Amino acid sequence: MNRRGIGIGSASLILIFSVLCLTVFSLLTLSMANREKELSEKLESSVENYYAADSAAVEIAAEFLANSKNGKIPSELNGAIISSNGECRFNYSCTIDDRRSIAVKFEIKDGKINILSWQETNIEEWLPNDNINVWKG
Amino acid sequence: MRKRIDSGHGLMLFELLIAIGFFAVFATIILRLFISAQQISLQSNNLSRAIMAAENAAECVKAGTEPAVFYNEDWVPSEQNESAYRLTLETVPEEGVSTTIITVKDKADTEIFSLTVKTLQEAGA
Repeated sequence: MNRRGIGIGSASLILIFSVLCLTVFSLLTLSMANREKELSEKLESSVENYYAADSAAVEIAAEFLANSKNGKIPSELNGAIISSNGECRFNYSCTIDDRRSIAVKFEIKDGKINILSWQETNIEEWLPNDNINVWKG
Repeated sequence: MRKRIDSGHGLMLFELLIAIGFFAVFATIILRLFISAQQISLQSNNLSRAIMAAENAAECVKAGTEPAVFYNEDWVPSEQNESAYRLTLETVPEEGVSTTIITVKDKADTEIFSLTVKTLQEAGA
């Protein structure tokens, strides 16, 4: 055995080990690539939803302006409720998805729309996780 | 004795030959897995970068500035002759609202990502 160097069966063992290693690495690489793909697709739908809501908000603002020029102040446009807080200031929100929405505040001055704020807000209430089990000594 | 040694060498060579054959078959399958993983990774990376480029262009359109249109292989804004990816902006003006369709395409003119942005034509601020 020693005289021959490598014995019979060692080639098979090396083959099994190397194939096993390569299979594990390839499957890990493939699963990582699939996770990356899923993340990209999530980002795609998130961005598409955001800009769809943004476009809806722009359309509402344009329609509101057109109505206000005709002397009408609508309380609802394209499903969005427009509330007034006096002094020709209005606000409404457009839903992005089940967790986010775009909140718009604007005022009408001299027949022109003046956007005061245009921001993404969370619909869901933030619940801080304060029950983590930490070592207290 | 010589006969036994020779048969041992022969057996080992035979085993080695079979092992190489099996390894070749398995390596082909595994290599295909690696290549498909690399392609998926490349596609998702391109999609992420295309989304970012389109978002950047959308915000530029909303702000009324000129967005970067040509991007090189590393998604860095570049000149037209060095570009591997490009953005096309198609603006459709309507009453009160201007619609811009931003499309990100690669060298082969294949669409990677598309985004529709609407802007108010008459805004006070």
